[in-house]
Amino acid sequence: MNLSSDHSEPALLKRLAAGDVDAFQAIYDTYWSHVYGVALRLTKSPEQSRDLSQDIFVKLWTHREKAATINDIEKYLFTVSRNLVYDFLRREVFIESNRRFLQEYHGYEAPSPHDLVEIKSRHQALEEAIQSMPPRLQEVFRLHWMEGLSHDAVAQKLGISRVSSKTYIVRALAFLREKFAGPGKNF
Amino acid sequence: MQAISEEQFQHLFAKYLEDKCTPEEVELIIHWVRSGQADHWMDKPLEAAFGDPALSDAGAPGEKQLVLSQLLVQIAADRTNGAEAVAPGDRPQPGRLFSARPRRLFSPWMMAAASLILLLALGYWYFTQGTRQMTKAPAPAPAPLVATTFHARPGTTGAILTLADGSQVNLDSAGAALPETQGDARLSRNNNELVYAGDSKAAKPAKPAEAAEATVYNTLVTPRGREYSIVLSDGTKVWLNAGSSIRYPVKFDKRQRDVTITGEAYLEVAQDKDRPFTVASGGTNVTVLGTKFDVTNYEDDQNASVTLLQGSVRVGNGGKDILLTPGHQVQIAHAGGTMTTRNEDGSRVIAWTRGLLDLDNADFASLMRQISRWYDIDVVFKGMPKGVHIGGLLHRNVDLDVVLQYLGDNGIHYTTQGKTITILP
Repeated sequence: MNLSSDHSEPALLKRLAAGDVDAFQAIYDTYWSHVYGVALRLTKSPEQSRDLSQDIFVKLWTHREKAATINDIEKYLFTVSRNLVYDFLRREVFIESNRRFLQEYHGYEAPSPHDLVEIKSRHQALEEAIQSMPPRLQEVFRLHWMEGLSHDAVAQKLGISRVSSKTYIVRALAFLREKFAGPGKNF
Repeated sequence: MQAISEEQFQHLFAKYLEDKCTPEEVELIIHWVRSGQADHWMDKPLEAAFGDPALSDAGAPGEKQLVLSQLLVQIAADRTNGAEAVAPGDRPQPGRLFSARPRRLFSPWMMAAASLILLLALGYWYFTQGTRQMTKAPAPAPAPLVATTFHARPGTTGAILTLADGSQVNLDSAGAALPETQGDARLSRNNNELVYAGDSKAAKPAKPAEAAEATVYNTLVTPRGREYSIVLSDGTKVWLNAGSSIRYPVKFDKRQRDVTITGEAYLEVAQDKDRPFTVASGGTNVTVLGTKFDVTNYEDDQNASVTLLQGSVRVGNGGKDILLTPGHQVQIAHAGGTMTTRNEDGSRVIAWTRGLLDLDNADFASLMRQISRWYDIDVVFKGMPKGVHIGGLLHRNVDLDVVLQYLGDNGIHYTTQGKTITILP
């Protein structure tokens, strides 16, 4: 970390403990991406990661007086986050209604060239269903499934993370499956 | 469920973090985490994850700023709820300042906001109501995405002061020269506030009425994208929202205090029972002795309104008078002048004086007008979103992109071109 002297970690933590919002923002600025990235690994969901990262920084603020005795922000983040993470996982992520999504997420494999040809041949039938998807899903689905872009390429093109691209795709497939639930179609 | 050792769990958890679990392993993880027995087994991998910079992820554009803006709202609420007051003087009632997503981290009053949060939990919208609404609705046109090359910065403090002789001073820049005196009124600038020195009656030499000088008026105008505050000669403080104006005498008369306001202003009127304070705005007059209230009268809104936070005011439209009590708002229709009174939480109405954009308190069209005034952009309605409720508070110190992303996340479809945002059905 390349921080000038009054922005050194212990100094920032002391200022945070004293209730300095600027110090809080400086810490946020440096560490949010880090916290958000960990949250993505845990939740597999950009929205939940936003929530969890928000919770963590709120707690960093509300428990700020504890920061005075700490020197290492990363350790402090872990200490502050630990119980929040357990609760968040239990309350929002590891719940029955999310089980299938998590399983599909872990099992997801990018479409093979054969899949891409197959889906193009059914384009017409699919178009209406795709158009009724929420906008973000629609866009990611088109890029990844219709144009064959990798998650990394989708992520770069849309300015989202790789994890999010995969999340949206798994949701899009679940969406289509529900839409075409019933005889015949199979996704 | 079979027993599991700490090592086995940590092995599974590492696979979980890397998306490599089989469906059975996902079930195992869910089971053990839900049981509560594995909590401290997660510590080591969690500590490692928090110590691993390679896991950093910048998120989507605006995401970091959006989370920060919601955090700042929560922090403002936290500070206000504690000992320190946040300007202006009137402390919002505990429980009245909602964060976009308050959680159980705060005291129970934040939990009272639960119904609001339901509408807010960002992104869940897509997969709950969102998906359901969308499946029912006929296929909407592919919505434009939030990513846009258009960047509007939030408004800042600044205003234009017009003196009695018609000359103008731009108060955006710190260097602009102010006349120090006008008649025997003294004028100074304190940070981003204009201050007229006191005109306490005791200090004034008694003058025969006929010798009194003609009253000198100044006008302070905030263009779109600017806000400013001013302390009048009697000590009354006025916050001017974007796209507003106040005309006032540099020194008040001995018998009355009269000002004229357009747009939106929040006033904390200094007590003076001998000199009633009157705000004229359009056809509406508000008469007070000493009190805190907000006047909103934008020509492009359907109504003018007066909201009382403290004290009492009398609101007249030329025909009828209404005596308003705290916690109430009177709306005066621009067409016809009909006055209706309703309950209104004043601390939310004046959220803007604390730098917050209140998304909850306004109908969608007037919310977009607020946005257009603060970001100095134009909004065109090609359709009015139905069944969508935008709620919460955002810090209005964020770029327009962030606000637009928030709206997009809440199901609003729009396109942007230059300085114009078009709202689609």
